[in-house]
Amino acid sequence: MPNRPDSEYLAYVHGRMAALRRTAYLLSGDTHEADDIVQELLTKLYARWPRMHTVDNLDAYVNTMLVRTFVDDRRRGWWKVALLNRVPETAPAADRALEDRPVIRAALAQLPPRQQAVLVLRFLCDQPVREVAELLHCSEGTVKSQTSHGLNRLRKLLGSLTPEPATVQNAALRNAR
Amino acid sequence: MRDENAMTDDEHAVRLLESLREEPAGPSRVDVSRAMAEGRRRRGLRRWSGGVGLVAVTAIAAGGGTVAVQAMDTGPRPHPSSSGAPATPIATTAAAPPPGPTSCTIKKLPTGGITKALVTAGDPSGHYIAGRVYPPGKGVHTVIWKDGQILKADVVPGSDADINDINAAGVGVGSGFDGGGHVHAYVLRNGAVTKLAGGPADAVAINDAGVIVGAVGQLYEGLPARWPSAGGAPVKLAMPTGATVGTAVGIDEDGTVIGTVGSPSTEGTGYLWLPDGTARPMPLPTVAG
Repeated sequence: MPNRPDSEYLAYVHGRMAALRRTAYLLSGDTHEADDIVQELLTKLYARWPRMHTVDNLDAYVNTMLVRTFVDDRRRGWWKVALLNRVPETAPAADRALEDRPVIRAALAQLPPRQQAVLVLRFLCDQPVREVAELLHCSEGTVKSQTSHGLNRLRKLLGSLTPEPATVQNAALRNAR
Repeated sequence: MRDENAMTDDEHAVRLLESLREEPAGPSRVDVSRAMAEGRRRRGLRRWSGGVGLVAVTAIAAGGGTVAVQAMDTGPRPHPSSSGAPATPIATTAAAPPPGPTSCTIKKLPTGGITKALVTAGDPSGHYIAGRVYPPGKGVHTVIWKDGQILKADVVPGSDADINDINAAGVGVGSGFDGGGHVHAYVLRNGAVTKLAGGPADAVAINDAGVIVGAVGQLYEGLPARWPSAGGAPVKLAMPTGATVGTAVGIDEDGTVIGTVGSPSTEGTGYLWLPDGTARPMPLPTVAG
């Protein structure tokens, strides 16, 4: 009866696992949450697997499912508990660079989930506007406006924590090396 | 000049977020066989949960959107004729309160040869259905069906246009984005499109009396609003102290409005505006675990 057998599901999942985990991690910033997102994604995918033959571009379809799972997860708010438990408080330490990562991540997590997804997909997964629009099933104009709203808010949030934007930039450059 | 600004903006954004570019640490906890076991269980539950969704929507909106839920649930399923039989009996046993249809046949709506289409709204009488069609390479167009026939396609202007609700008179409400990324609300009546008053807005629901609700302002940053009629000015709905954004999502025939209120950085919480002018938060369900 199934149009796509389990062996194809397993082969597909094993082929995409690393990429899916990485994207989920970039979206959520937390290994446990990333694994939970991928677990839920694979469950949904298997539930729908018999009718997946109707999907033209399976990778794109699964990527959309992944982002949607992340957004839904954030909307439910489970992550807040995890975040409070794991992210350290910003202490007045000397080396700000070490703190930048959790500070930026915490600021990002305060944006509406779809804005978080837009920023991560565009600037960490390096996806062009058009592909982000397809992933989120919205227009390119929406992606652009969500990007600028998200960035403005992120800068406002970080502005109150880091008086000099240069600190953040230098730290980012240091980490990139 | 704008492009130049956008470029430097993008570069700055990459730098800002660069420190977050990391690989997941440690071994994967993803359990594929558990995903398959749970996925198999959900395959069996799918039809059943469709019935529950139907009840939830009818209970709140008194009929508005029942067709949409039914059609959306059945639409993407590729084998309606071979396995459609069990859906009705299971749904009716689970769905005690509203007396739903006693039997259903599933029919594909015509799409003018376009292979990708979906239903986004239906009216309580079942005559009108609204949705989207995706002509290859041409984005998305909205479409209205009356009694199973395409009435008019490409009705809502703007990109990423949607018809969010349609009433028993065939009056639809929806929204589309202009070139600047601003959302605008529209009303569709007898094939004519009217932009709702009040600047950027999103029209989410309409009842059979023609009262429209949604939000005024940019998407995700708007305020819940009600338009007494398609030509009228929006009336903002009262917000609880502390809430700065919100949207109405449904309106009943007696004028009861449901929606969400919250702040830009959090997800909204359910809110109820009653016809007598009072408003109150919706109680949250308790969830085990």
